[in-house]
Amino acid sequence: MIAAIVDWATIGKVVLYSLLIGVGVATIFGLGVSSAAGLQEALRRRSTGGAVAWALLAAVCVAVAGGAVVIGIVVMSSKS
Amino acid sequence: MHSDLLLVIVVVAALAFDFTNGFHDTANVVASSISTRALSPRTAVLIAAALNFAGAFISLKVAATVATGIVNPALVTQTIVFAGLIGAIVWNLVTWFFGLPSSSSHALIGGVVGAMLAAVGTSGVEGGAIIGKVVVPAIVAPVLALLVAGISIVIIYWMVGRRRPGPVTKGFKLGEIVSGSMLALAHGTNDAQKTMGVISLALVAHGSIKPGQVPSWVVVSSATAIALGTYAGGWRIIRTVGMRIIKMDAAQGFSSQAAGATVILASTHFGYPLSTTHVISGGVMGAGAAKRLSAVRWGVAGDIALAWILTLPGAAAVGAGAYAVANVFGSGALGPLLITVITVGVLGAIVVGRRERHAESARA
Repeated sequence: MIAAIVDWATIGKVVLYSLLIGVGVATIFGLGVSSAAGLQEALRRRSTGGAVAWALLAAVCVAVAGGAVVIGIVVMSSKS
Repeated sequence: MHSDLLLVIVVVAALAFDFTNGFHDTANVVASSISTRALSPRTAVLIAAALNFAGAFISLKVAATVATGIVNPALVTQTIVFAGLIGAIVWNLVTWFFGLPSSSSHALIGGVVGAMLAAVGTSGVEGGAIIGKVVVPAIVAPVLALLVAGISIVIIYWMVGRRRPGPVTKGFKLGEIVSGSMLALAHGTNDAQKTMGVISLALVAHGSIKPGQVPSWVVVSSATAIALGTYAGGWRIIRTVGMRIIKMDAAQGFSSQAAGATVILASTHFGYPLSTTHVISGGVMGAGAAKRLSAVRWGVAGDIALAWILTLPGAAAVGAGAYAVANVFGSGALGPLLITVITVGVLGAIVVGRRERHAESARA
């Protein structure tokens, strides 16, 4: 009976989107933090190449995480 | 005339509920940021209040679900809406009194359903919708947040494990500010809409609007009430969520808030009136359990779970009782007016008594 009442397809979408976006954004931001820490370590070692690589990776991760936040807000507002 | 006065009482009660909702649920939004010192308490609460206000304007989907999906709008009277609100307000303040982060959303739905059952019986309640849109998501959402936060924190620890802790903590504190802000925005979109839905129900019962409509003044007043409530803050629950479930580090605070925000935004997107409280508590438990199962104080988690289970029937019982008392005085404004005075008096005495006891124990 409950199976007929509950819209499992929609709940499944909520679960899937939450898992993919939630874990994805947290992972990308975590990679960004790790890269920023790597950048600091490379600067302390005076490793220019390493610093540039870590800086680029950190910037990309922060941009992607920021983009995800903006997309989240846009998706929300488009359903009003 | 009686109908107009009753509508005013119902709208004031709805906005009072909205205030307690912000007051009660501030904890969910700011507890992690405060406990890991990412933000000072005052700044965290101020940001949460502003974003709760903004969030209320983003979507009206949940408002429509509350207004039309849970009970039969054709059978709703203003007295039923009023009694439901009393059930929700009383339940919110009782759980606040004990420092338990229960769901304001479920208190509201429980209160309205209880009043409806007392008024017209089971024919007025959309049982299938309550199971499909309230009960099942209430079970799925905290487990989902627990999973998202747990998986995230395992990956994050693996990525930053060999880094120096200083810059990593600083980075995640920044992340907490962003994820906490998203959580506040999500809370505003989800919770302020419930009040909008209830005021809309009362307006439909009054004959002022058609089902499914939400007037602009309802949106603005609901947003303002929840923002003011958030700013007033519920420090007792902040302590429970931020410090008593687990002792959090910045990465755990970030992952629990990010998980909570994602689950709430996804659910709101599909029109489920979700409990922010359940979701963020699930996220906090997930972030703690993934590090070490014993890191979670399961006794506190058990108390919270018990409050969750009791919320729907508890608020429904108060809502049904409030309707029965109001009905003794007929369908006019007298019953609701008397109940309002009695409720404000009793709750005010409890709050003042509690504060005096705290002041005495502080002096001693």
